[in-house]
Amino acid sequence: MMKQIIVIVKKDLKETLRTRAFYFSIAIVLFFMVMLGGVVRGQINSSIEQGLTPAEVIPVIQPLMGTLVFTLSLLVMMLFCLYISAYTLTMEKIKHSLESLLCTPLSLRQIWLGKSLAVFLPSAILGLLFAFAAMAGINQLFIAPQIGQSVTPGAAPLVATLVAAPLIIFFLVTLLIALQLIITNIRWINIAFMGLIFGVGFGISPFVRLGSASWNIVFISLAVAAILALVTMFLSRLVTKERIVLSSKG
Amino acid sequence: MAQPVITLDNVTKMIAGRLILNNISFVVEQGDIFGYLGPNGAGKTTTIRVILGLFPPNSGKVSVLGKSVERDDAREKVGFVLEADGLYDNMTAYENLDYYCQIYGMPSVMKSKRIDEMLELVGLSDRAEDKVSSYSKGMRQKLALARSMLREPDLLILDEPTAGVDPTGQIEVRQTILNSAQRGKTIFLSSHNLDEVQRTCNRIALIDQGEIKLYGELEKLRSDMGKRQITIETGIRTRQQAKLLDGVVAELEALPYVASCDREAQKLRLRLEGRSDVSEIVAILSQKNIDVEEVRKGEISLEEIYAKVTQGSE
Repeated sequence: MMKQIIVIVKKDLKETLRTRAFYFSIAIVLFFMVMLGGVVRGQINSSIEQGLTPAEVIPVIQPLMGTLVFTLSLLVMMLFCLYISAYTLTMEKIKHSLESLLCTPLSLRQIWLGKSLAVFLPSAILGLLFAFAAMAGINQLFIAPQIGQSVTPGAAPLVATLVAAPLIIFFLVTLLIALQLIITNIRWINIAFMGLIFGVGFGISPFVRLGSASWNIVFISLAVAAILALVTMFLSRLVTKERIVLSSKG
Repeated sequence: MAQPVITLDNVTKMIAGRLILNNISFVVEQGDIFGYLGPNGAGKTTTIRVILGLFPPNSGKVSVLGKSVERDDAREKVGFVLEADGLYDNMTAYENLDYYCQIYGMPSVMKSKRIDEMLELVGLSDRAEDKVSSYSKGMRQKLALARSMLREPDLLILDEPTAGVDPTGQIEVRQTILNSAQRGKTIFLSSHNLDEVQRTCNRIALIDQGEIKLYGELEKLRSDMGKRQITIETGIRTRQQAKLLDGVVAELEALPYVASCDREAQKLRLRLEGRSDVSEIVAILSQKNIDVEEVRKGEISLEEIYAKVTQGSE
């Protein structure tokens, strides 16, 4: 079963790498990284101007780094999953390639999971990659020269970044793919996409303020992931081959 | 009796409250080239979708190769060409076939040999590395056909496989279908092309407004339906004789056992009903000085069968 899912994932990934949208989203992410780097730099400078010693600056910087890594990873993951998922399935439905795929011995769940993983894996990997690259870059450029050592995020933001954020994205992607499978109108799909992404973003943002990285982020993120999982499970009853074919009319 | 390959048993399908298939039943047997005919909107594509497990029927049973279509493995040995070819435009022909080989779990050692064979079979070997977006409609259909036969299916389901294909391409596609049938494959061919069906199929079903109107062996249907029809070849040569022939049409139609009489150049086609007397018809023509060269019974084409059954629905 897994072998066939990997086949779908590999093919979709190849197609994603051929799209301009993918490289456009990388450009947006790089812009975000530069902005966040500026925020951290400003924080360090103001701490030093207040007369804090390097040892006193570390407890100020560490939570900031935590929220930065978590926020950036989630943002990047959401951005990529938005761009990638918007492309893959819509085109396959318009060209009726999906209908042919549904006629193979693959089950609907295999196809759904394959399509979801094809969006989730690059989004999650790139999200983590950019977040940790940003952390390394900020340490190298602004923190180490000022206080003589690197600062890493605490345990809570690391768990939130490595576990909770990918979980949120996984269930968000399965939900987005399910909606794409059963909705005919591209405009409605886009509205649903934006609604979900902003919903998740606003749902988490009150608990993620710069400099206040705590276990709350982990619990809230896991709760959001659980809600998305429940909605996906509910929606899975509506995802049928018939509905997919009938909503593929262009 | 040959093994049933596709069985539809009292299948009803409704979509958005509309009855699309109304209690349809038929059996496609092993080795059949089964023609599935019908006007636009008759329910042909829906039937194919039901057979391929895309649409569950509201009632009735569907089995393919002895398995219920609800099971995903019922499609293990089924190849298909759908109305929309479903090829990936930004992939090459080779990549398209390679993708499906992987989906079917074909071992890597067999894969490239099989792809080359299929591309050779449909005459696309020299365009294997070209993107499908650069292909003509005919080439796309051939590639879709190659994809359908990738792993030696026992059953091929073809929805309008020659639609939009040029005449040479049509002959090639038809030949490929016949070759597959010779290798023992069962073929379910949905088509608008009556000539194609007449040339390739041994059995047919005709669907109209969601109901099977006609079903059986093509030759038997042609002879059964043709029994009540005669064609008279006349020896008219002059314009005056032609006028005579026009005049006699009404006279023949007035006979109690003649349902209709049509003139086609030198021919008269008569549809008979009840107890008929062909010698009386010949006598009437002789009285009018019209030479009768030949009287043929039972000649009815698939086109005529189709027109008769679907009258008024297109």
